[in-house]
Amino acid sequence: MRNRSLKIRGTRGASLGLIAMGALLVIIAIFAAFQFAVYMGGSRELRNSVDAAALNVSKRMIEVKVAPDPEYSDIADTTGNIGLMNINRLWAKAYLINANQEAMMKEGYSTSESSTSASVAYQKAEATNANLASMLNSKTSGDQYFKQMAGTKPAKLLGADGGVTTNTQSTWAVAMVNRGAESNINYQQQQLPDGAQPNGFNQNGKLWLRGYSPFVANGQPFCFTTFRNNEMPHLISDTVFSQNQGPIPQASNPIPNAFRESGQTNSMQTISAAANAVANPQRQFTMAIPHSFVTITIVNHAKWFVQGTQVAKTTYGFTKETQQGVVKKKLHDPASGLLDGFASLGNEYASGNNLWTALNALPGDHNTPAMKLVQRINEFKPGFTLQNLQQLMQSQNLVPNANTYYIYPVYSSPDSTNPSVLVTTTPNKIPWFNPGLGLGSSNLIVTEEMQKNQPNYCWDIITEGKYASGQHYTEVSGKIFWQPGTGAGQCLGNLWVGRLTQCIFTGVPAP
Amino acid sequence: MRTRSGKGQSLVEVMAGFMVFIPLAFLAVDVVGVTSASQSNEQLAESLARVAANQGSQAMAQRAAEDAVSNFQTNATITAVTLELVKYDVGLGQVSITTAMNFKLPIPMPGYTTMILRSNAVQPIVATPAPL
Repeated sequence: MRNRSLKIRGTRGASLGLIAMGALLVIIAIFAAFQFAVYMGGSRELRNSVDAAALNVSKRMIEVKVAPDPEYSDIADTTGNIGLMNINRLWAKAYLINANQEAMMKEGYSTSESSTSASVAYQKAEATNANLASMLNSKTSGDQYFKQMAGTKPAKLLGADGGVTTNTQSTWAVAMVNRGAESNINYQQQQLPDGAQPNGFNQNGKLWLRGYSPFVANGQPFCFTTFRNNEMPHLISDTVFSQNQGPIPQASNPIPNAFRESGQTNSMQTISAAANAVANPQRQFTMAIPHSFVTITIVNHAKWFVQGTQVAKTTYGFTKETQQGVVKKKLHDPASGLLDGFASLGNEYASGNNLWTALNALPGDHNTPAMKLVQRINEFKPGFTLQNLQQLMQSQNLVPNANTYYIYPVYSSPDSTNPSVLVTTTPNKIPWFNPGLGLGSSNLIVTEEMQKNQPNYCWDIITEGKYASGQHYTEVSGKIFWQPGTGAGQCLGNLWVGRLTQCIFTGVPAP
Repeated sequence: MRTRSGKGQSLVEVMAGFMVFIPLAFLAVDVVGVTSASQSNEQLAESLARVAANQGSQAMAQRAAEDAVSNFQTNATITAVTLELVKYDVGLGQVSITTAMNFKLPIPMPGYTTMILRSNAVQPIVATPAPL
C-alpha cells in the first residue's frame, strides 16, 4: 500500500509541476527580455544625451572668450573680447601689419620703428591666441556646456539615477578638423601690399584664407582656424576626430575647432559614451585693420632768390594771393638799387577747390601715389577703388590753413565692418584716434614736371638803380613723398605733397 | 478506472497550463510591441529635434518638424504620429519637441486596445550664428 500510494502521488503532480516551472521560466525570460530592452533603450538615451551635450559644447565654445591687447580692440566683439568667432580676425589684422612691414622692407621703407611695431603686434596676437587656446583646451570650459545640455536629457529608462554627467575619467580632447579648408576670413588681392602671398584659395568668386595651413609673413608663421562656410556645429565620427588630433607643422598653438567629451550615468551600473562635434561661429569677415587711417599733407613754399642768393622763404595757401617776398633788397654789381620782389602764388589750385585737384595741380605721375593710398585704404575698406578715391577727394573742399587731411573709416555696424570712408582735417573727430608707432621712412616717389613762369609768376620793382626792372621768372615744381605705416599704430601711410615756387630775380634785364 | 483518471488529469493539467501560458505569451507580444514603438517614438522625437535645431526660427522649426512627421510611415500597430509641441527657445539655445504616437496593441487586452506613447527630446539650437 505504501508503495502504491507513492506512485499515485508522483503521477498526479508531474504535469502541473512542469507547467509551473515552465511558466516560471517564461516569466523570467519575459522579465529578462524586458530588462534587456530597457537597458538597451537606456543606453541609447545615454548616447542621445551625450551627442546633444557634445553638440552643445561645440556650439557654445564660441562663448569662451579672452580680453585682447588694446591694439586689437577694433576687432573685438561688442563685449570687447576675442573668441572663436573673431580669433581669425585678430590674426588677419596681425598678418596685414606684418605683410605691410615685409613689403616696406623690400621697398626700402622699413625703419626700426616699423619693424618693432610689426613684431610687437605679432607677439600681442600670439599672447591673446595662447590665452584662448588654453581655455579651449581646458576640460573645465567644455564641462559646463556639456552638463548644461546633459542635465536636460537624463537616461530615464535607467531609473531614478539616470542623470547624465561628464565622465570624470574621460579624456577631454580637442582636434583641428577640415585642415586646408576655408577659415572665416576672406580677402581681396588689392588689399594686400606688393609681394604678399597668403595661403588662400578662390571659392565662389571670393578669396578665402585656408585654415590650419600656416604660411609665413615677415618671418612669422600665421595659422588660421578652419570654419567652413554654410556649416553649422555638427557631430563627427571618432575616426575623423582622431585623425585630426595631431599637431600642425609650424603652428605652435593652433586654436581647435572640434571637441570630444564623454558622459556617464551611474544607475544600475556605470555606463558611458563619448561624442565629437565641430564648432562653427557662422560668421565671416573680410581681412581688415578697422581702426586705421591714411593722411594727405600738402605744403606750399615759395623761395625768393635775388642775384642767385636765397633771401626769403614763405608759405602760401590754396587760393590765389600776392606776396612780397623781397623788400628793398640792395643789389650789387652788375645791378644797382633796391629791389622789391612780388609773386602771384597759389595759382596751381585755381582749377578747383578740392583735394583731388590739389593732388593733381601740377603735371606728373599722380597715379602712383593715388594707388598707394588706394591699397592702404583697402586695408580698412575692402573693395575701395581709384574711382572711389577720386570721388572722395573731389568731395573734400580745401580748408584754409589746414594742410593735413585724414582719410578714415566710420562704422555703423557693431562688428566694425563695411565702413563709410570720410575725410577730415581735425583728427579729434575720429572717435578711436590714438596713433602709435609703426611708420616707415618717407621716400620720394614722384617728381612733378617743373613749370616756368606758370601757373605762378613774379615781378619786381627796382628803385634808385640803373634799371626799373630786371629779369625775373618763377620755377614751379612739386615732389611727392610716401611714408607707409604698418598699421600697428593706426596710421597706414602718409602722402606728403610739397609744392615749391622759386621766385628768381637777377636785378638786370635779360641779355 | 485508474488509467482513465490519469489521462484526464494530464489533459486538465495541460489545459490549465495553456491557460497560464497563452496570456503570458500574449502579454509578451504586447510588451515587445509597446517597447519597440516607444523606442521608435523616442528616436523620432530625437530626429525631429535635430531637424528643428537646424532652423533659424520657431516658425521654421515648426514647419521642418511637421514635414518630417508627415514622412513617418505608419503601420498596423502605429496608426498615427502627431507633433504635440515645438518650443524653439533662443534664450536657452534649445529646441524641445514632444511627439505622440498612437499604438494599437497587437493583441488587445481587456480595457486596453490602443495606447498613446509620448516622447520628448531636447537639442541645442545650432543654426544661430555667434553674437557679434
